[in-house]
Amino acid sequence: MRGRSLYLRLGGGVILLLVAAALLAPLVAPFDPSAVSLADQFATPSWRHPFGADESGRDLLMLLLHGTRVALGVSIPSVAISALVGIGLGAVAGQRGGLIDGLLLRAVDVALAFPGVLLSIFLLFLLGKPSYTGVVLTLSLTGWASFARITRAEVLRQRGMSYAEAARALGLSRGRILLRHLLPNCASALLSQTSFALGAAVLAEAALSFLGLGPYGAPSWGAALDQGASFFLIAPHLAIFPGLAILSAVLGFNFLGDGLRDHLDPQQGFA
Amino acid sequence: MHRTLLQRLVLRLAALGSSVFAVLVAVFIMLRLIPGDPVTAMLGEESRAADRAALTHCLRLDLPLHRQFLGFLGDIGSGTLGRYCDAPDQTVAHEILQVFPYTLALACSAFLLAATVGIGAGVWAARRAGSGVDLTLLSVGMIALSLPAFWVGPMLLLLFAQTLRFTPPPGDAFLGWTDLLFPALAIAPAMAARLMRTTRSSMLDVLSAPFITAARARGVSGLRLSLKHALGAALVPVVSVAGLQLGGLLAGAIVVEKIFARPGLGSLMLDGLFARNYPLVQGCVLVIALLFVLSNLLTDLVHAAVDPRMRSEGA
Repeated sequence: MRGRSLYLRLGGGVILLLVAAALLAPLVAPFDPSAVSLADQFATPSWRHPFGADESGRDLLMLLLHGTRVALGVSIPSVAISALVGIGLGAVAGQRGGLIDGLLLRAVDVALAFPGVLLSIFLLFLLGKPSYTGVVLTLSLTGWASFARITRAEVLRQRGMSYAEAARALGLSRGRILLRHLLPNCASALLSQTSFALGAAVLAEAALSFLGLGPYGAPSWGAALDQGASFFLIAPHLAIFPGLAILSAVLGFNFLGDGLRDHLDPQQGFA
Repeated sequence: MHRTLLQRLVLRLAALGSSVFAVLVAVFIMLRLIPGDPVTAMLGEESRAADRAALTHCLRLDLPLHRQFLGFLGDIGSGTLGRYCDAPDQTVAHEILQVFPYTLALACSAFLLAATVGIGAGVWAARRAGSGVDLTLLSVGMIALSLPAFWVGPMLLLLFAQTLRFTPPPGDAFLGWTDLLFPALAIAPAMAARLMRTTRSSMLDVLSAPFITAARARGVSGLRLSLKHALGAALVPVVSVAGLQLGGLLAGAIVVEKIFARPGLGSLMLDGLFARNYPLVQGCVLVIALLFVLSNLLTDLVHAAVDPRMRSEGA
């Protein structure tokens, strides 16, 4: 369907832009948090400051460009950890079944049902001072469950197919079947899940930063929105643009995930 | 083996009770692992030794861990959930009861809003599957799913209070129905979007079921077919998703409470964590876990109501 490949392109385009912004930010706009300019305080959007300036006269576009680095720098490693843990647990549970499977299902249910932000807040306090590593770790601890659930379901589905039966008949070991045959066939489902997870991680990082629990001192979008929200009646642009940055990143990842799912797995696609 | 409804209910309650207990033990231990001394956090660095000793005793921190936990269980049993050391006539339960109506009102209104819009849009999209309406609804749903609640809140205020002068600006004059509507509108979009997607795909499944073909053959069509015949069966997975979302309402509420300076369970717990107020945090977690268990139970009951199979099959 045409609308669907549009999702893939739109999402892919937004994400490419974000990655480019994250890579190029230090070159085009050196981050200088101390570059205070009283003359530019609360400056409205203009040619000099396309997104305006904040309460200490710092250019908002510069802050948001560097925020891209925080958003991707937190979400990519945290999703990598949750994917590794979740795929590993889900694959073993799906192939072995039995007690391991039952235990994992319960753990996944609890982890998915308990409000993630509350759990993250708790874990952050447990780790002490707000830090970059702390945020990455807490987000991984709340993110693994959806990977585990999807991997388990996919492995169960693939295991029943005739190619898997053929591999068993050939006498291949369980580990080999899992790694060489079952998991590669789960790749399309896991790839789109990775994109969704990245979007969720960007949103969660922004929420934590908004609550003052994000990576300490980093120019996060959530922190910028928190600052902006306290001045939004006198300088609305300070609240509008950070939110638009978060929205476009999350939407980009969600579009990309949806598009990938339909592109890579047409039969499962759009039902 | 068939168990009676009562037996199953008792088993369920026992299972749920044990999960609440497990959560309590976990939180109790986690709180004590958090770095930082609660006595210093409450009294400050330059407090007198006598004051410190008194507070330590009052918080039961001079007791071994298992005695501390038994003390906490006693506080639960007495219904106070613990007393404040600086104001012994004030209890944690009292504090929680003061903010609880706000949390409940917000959760219920956001839930109603999301369920009405989400299920309605889902049915509409399923009836027009593949059309422009369907694609538009799906795209809008995707945007709603990506909206940060802590951005929608300020934007609503900006639009309605500042630009359109529709409502009084926030501040002390900010009361009445907008007090509840705006926070609910900020949390509802993501939940509505999830309910819409579930309703849509479940409706599509049901609409191709034989009993719907049979109904069509009898001449039933249009809205009557969708709402009276299909929707009931299609609601089963929607109820599960809705039940899972209730936890999200509590989590989403924390950020929205911050924006609208609204009291609530989430903010109370966050304040307690910042202040290292053990009894307060433990009390909040207990109430949140109970709410969670209740919503699970409610989901099961609603399931039994919409799906006759759930009533007879195993627990």
